[in-house]
Amino acid sequence: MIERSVKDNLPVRELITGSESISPDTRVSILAERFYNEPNLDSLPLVKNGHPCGLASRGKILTTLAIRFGFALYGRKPISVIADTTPLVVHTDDTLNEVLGQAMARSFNDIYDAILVVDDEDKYVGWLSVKRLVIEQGNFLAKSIVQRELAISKAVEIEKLDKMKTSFMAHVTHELRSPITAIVGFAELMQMRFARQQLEDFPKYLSLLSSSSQNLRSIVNNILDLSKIEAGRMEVFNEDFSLCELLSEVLETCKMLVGEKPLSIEVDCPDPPATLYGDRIKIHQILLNLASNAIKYSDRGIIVISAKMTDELQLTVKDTGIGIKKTDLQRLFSAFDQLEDAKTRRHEGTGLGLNITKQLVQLLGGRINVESTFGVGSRFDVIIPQNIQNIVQEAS
Amino acid sequence: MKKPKTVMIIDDDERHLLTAKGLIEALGYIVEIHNSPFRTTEKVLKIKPDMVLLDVNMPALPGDRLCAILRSEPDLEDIPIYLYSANDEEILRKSVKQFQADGYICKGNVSALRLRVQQVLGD
Ligand SMILES: Nc1ncnc2c1ncn2[C@@H]1O[C@H](COP(=O)(O)OP(=O)(O)OP(=O)(O)O)[C@@H](O)[C@H]1O
Ligand SMILES: [Mg+2]
Repeated sequence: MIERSVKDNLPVRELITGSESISPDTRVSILAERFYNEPNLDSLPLVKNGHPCGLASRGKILTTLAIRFGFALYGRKPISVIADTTPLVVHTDDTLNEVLGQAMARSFNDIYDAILVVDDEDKYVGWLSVKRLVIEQGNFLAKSIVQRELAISKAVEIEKLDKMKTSFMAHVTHELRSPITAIVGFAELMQMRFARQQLEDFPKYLSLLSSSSQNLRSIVNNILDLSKIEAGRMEVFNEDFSLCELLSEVLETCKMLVGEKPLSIEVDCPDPPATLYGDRIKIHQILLNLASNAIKYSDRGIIVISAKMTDELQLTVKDTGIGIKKTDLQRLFSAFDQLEDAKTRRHEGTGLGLNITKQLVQLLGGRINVESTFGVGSRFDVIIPQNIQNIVQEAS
Repeated sequence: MKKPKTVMIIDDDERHLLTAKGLIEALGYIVEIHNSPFRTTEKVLKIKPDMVLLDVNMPALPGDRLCAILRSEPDLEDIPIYLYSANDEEILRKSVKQFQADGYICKGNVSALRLRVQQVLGD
């Protein structure tokens, strides 16, 4: 038996939060339903023949379902297909400190997941809540107030992140479903009208169908990009390309985005035309994200897109739009965050554009800067160290 | 023949107004549309629809709160109001309770839309 006097070495068997489990063969749809209906249910261990074989956690399951248009693809599959198959598993005799150490060493996205506890025969005994362990440890460390506060603030921090992800989920769900809904509706309506040969509204329906699909495409692309970046799977691919050609491609897309708005777009290309060695696709995406924001958040005026080459590549997008409040500037680049309240927003979007842009810029070794006056306009500057990257690339 | 019943749809998104209108008209009902949360009360009082479909995410005033406002009109106490939204169902369920709607219909679920409208209005 462990000595009770060594309190922070408490064996985790005394800290087990629950012992519920489900079979790995449970259908995704059934589990998703449970997560919807039981807001306090965070995760469920998967157990087969008494042995733990995975963990289904609320956030990850619901996110997967949303990102991949879930139910259609996964609804009938067994939960083991999308669950975490390598959860943290510890022994009943392991101590609080050891276990927390292991939990905290996991990647940020996994830290919060439940930990499974097994006995001598590797049979499932129950699960531990990391949140609870952290608080428990804080209590045991009461002699050092500082340490305790540190532990608790960590728990609060994790909780905050979790909340943000939940609201992001709700938001993305709406952004994805809105265009899908329109597409389904128009398809159904056209089918009905076609059967009666009432074709007069077709051109209008088709154009809305097409714009809804494009809207959906860009949202899906954003979500996939972000997942790729977060998984560390976004790679840099350098090639030779003409900066001016790139700018005129961006200009073409922008003209489409402007639509009926009284907005003019100017492109300022370096003279003489420069050939660049770099990641063309990412630079294109960076410019387009900034330019599409400039268009989206301006009702009138001029948007200037310019590029300058020194020993660095300097890209600037300037608009005369709604501008950004000083107090909002900091939040601008965080994912899951939009300046307008989701339910009363005037503009569509996932709030991922700038976060992706910033991560792309960083991936290219550059930096991004913003200046803005509320009600007047904004200016985004991106600087990418051109030559350095050249040398590094050519040397390797 | 008796006069067909009327459904009123409030949504700031033209695409959703058009599709819902087309689908419900095909069931033989009259559909009135309104494309902003503002002046909704006046319009509903004037038209006196037999059912209201209310989008939730709208600029300046979300539909669930608008629902509570409509409800506070003595003349609109008994009118069936449904939230018609692409939001997460979990959130809609809460909004229905909190803002005294009669229920919700998920945008995109065409058969649920037809079914619910027919259920509420009868034919
Ligand atoms: N040029 C701009 N002028 C004013 N506000 C801006 C500008 N660019 C971004 N913002 C604000 O910053 C927020 C975050 O921008 P971001 O591009 O990340 O998301 P989004 O445009 O809302 O959605 P999307 O993911 O479709 O790009 C926006 O919601 C908007 O409030
Ligand atoms: Mg954007």
